[in-house]
Amino acid sequence: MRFGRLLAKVVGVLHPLLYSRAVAWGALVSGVASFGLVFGVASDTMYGIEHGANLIAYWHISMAWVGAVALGATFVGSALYLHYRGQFWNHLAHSAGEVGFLFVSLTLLTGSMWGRVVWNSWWEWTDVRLVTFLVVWFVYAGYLFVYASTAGSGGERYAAVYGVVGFVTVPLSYLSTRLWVPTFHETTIANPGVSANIDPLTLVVSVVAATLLYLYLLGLRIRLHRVEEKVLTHKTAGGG
Amino acid sequence: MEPLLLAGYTTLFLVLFAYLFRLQRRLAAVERSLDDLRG
Repeated sequence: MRFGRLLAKVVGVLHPLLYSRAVAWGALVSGVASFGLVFGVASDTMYGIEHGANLIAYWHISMAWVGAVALGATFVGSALYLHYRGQFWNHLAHSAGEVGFLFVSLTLLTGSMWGRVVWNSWWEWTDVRLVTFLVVWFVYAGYLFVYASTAGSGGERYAAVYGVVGFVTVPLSYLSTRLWVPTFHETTIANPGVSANIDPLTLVVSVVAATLLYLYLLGLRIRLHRVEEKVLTHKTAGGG
Repeated sequence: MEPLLLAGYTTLFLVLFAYLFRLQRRLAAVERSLDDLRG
């Protein structure tokens, strides 16, 4: 009960934030700053390879992190929907899943391009991070399919259960380079043996920009759900 | 600019903005239909 009250307070604070102009303007300003840093400050030499296309890494990493956060929001929204049954949680879970799926798709695409530069290969089936991340992509494609098939027919809980269970693939993919021997993706964070030569300021600004863009898209998607629900309620009440 | 880099950031930009505009257009259409139902 105490947790429920705390949760209501957190939602009360975060909910208006999603629709605020500060998020939209913040995304725009930090996005411009990120591109300024990527093309003006950051070095195009990574892992000892000098190539202009290395600069795609800044948004590849940002998309991957924000994608994981988005799918985490799907997990939280789904779990809370199963517990509290509030439509807000259902809308949050699906909206975060849809935007997260887009971010994960872009991570795969930009990663493939970066891989062509640093590994001289578009795709490697022997790399644990690549394969587990592809599994994440398929799992969330499945989530969106299950949601689309069950939404509006009272079967939203099936998608919520899927959203909770499917999340296990996300930490598994992020920990894969520590759990198994990586072929190409080396652990860079807290690993002094690897120097990727990634500029920290550029990366932080890019992650902030991607996060704010995600929050803006999430706010729009949730709002769309809410207006659609109101239209449905009006139609049902009017008998139309 | 490196063609691969240009292709990567152009795709990123196009996909994200296409999704953003699609959401905004759908939202505007649903809000209009809600106004019609209320009016």
